[in-house]
Amino acid sequence: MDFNATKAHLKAQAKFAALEKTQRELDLKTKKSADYRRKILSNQKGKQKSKFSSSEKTSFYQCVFNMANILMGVGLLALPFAFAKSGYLGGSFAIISFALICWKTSILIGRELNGDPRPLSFFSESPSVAKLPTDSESMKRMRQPIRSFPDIAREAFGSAGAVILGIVLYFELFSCIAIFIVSIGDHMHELFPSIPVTTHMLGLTIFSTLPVISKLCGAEWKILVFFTTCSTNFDVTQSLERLAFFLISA
Amino acid sequence: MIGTIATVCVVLAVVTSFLIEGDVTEEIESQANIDSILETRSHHQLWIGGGLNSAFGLVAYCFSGHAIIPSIYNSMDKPYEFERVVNVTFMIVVAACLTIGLSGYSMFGDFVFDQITLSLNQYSSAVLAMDILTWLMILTAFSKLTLTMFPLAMGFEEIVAPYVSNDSTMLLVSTAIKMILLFGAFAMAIFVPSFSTLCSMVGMICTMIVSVIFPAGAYLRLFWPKLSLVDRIQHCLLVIFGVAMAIVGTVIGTP
Repeated sequence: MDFNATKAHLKAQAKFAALEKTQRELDLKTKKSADYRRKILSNQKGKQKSKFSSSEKTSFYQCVFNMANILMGVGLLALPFAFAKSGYLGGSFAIISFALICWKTSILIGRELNGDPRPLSFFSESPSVAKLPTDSESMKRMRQPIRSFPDIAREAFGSAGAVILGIVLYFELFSCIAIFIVSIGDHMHELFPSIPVTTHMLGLTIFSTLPVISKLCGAEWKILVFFTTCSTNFDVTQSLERLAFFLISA
Repeated sequence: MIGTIATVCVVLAVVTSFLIEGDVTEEIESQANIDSILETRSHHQLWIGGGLNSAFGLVAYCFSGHAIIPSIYNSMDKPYEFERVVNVTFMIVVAACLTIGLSGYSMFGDFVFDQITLSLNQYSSAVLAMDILTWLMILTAFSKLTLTMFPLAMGFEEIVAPYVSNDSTMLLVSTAIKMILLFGAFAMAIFVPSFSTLCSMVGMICTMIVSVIFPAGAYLRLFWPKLSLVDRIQHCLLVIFGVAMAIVGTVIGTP
């Protein structure tokens, strides 16, 4: 009886130790991942200015500009085709109804980030704008403010929710790359109709692996390195500057 | 920056060529088949119910950008102005979308290609300008491709990083990851060759989850006790709508 009890106790202890070990390993892994991200980001920051760096604050119209810029991308090109699929009224109906839904959900995300279901304009710091009485009780938020998209998922649906959302987000990014490849292939085919679309896409894919591969090579592969700088920050003036620099140094 | 220029140029190009050249569907038809010119039919429809799902997918892809909202919100000088930012932005975006959609469709009718710049390049009389526009689109798409590649590769590298000890192996591994991703995307591009199919699939499945189901669902989960009955019903309807559209998109996307 006593013996059995000790056995069970030992078993539980072993199990606990194992759990603790995996937890420690997990922590270590998270820390290493975070280190890696920080390293890459610090490398990147030297090369190109981050648009949304947390240090500088943006004004009202800069925010409108940034957001409109992100919403209006390659998808805009397909809208006449959407009209062709569903007619004048159908297309307008699709655009307006979906814009209403997205407008609503954007505001919802804003309120989730703020941590309170009431409109954000209530939380103005200046007393002349605030619509709520500024005593501490009504200004108190329901939750702590949240900072990022995966954090919302973690708060609302637990870590499984965050993982699922991450998978969907990465799948979307991956499909966006495929969409860009198709789009570039189609446009290149329009300019050079003698070459089939698939060849254009293959050429493009190989071309975009060049900068990746060139990082493996030594400094003597200067042309490839030039492609790297050209393609990683595709700002026209900067590329010209680098081209001039490259010509001088060569 | 180049993306903004390209967007503005495309909108301007579509509107000006519509204003200058007007409806060109009849010319295209007479070019395409001289024999069957006798059977005249309208190339502009008011309402086609059957195409509504793919139209919804394309529009959804156009409006996908909710993942960037936290960065914008956090970068704001006065976060309480965020709702006004959203109002103004959506007014601008809807105006641009309606402009480009309506004028593109009025100009080309159902002869329009799934990317309006291709139609413009093929049928416009201003050849040089349209060639420049096409090159601009290629540049834009290429710069966006490299910009999108960065966070995607980063996500995978972060998963692998704890298992790799030294830097030179890590460089090899990250190169391998990027190569695999690029050629995977290339394989997907070959497998689903049409731009519009791919867009409407992504729009229906990913955008519905990220931009409709997730925000409304999270709002309900986070603030359930504080919400009024109207709010609860409204946001439940949003979630149900999103789920229904995502299922429709999946069913249509995999024939």
